[in-house]
Amino acid sequence: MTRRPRIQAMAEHLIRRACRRLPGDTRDERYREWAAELPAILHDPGVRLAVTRSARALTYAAGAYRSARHLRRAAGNSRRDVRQADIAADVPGTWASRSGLRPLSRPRLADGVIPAITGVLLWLTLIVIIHAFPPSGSWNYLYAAAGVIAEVLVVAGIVRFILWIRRQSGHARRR
Amino acid sequence: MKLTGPLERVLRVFLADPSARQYGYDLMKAAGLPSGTLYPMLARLHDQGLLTSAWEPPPDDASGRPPRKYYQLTGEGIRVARLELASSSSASSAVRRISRGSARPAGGSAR
Repeated sequence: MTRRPRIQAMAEHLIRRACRRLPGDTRDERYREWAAELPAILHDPGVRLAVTRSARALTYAAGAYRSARHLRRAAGNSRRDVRQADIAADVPGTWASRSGLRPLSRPRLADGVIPAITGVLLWLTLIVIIHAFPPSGSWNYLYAAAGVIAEVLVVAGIVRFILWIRRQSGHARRR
Repeated sequence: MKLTGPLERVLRVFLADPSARQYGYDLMKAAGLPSGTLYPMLARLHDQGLLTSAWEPPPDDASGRPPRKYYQLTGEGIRVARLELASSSSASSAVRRISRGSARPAGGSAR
């Protein structure tokens, strides 16, 4: 990968992150608008040094945070609205998926999935370790503690997942 | 509309050629403003109906460059911008006249 596309990718990443703060109905267009200026900055014939052009691109991208803050304030949207719009922005077929650029928001996992999976993995690891090195002496406490942590993670994950399912069904009923 | 220094610079760039398409980066360069100042201002002018924006058609070359968004003053925008800049320049020339006038008596009393 050459230096320039890497800078462009970094700048796009910054703009993408800044645009996640915007309300869902405007973020897609704003990201498209701001990211489209990057090639013009990075290939500006008026700026001789590539380093200067790169610095300008990154400064421009950093300015997107300030723009997003102002625009969000102007739109008067609460953080909760923005979060809910995250889900809407992940719909396939938006401009990002069509244009080949990465989507603005990562697909969201259901709540509780990560702690539950972590807990299960910890359990499995613990079982393998116990078989390989049978606990003895003070190691018993360590294994017991790891087992409790794994259980807590799994239970917390399941509870959060159940709450998430209930919330989702509540949203679906309201629609 | 409150005419601030950055806004005045942006309006001057637009009025230099009201029919020209102005892109974000070109505006930044011409007005000497950072993106964090320019874009909220453009959004505000757009919401007030003083600016119109549109996407350029996708470029024909194989560069893969994405289309850019450009801005132009509306008819109302041209009228308001000219009015604001005219009142701003008349106000600043009045300030200059006053400061020159106040400097003279001070110089005269020193003698």
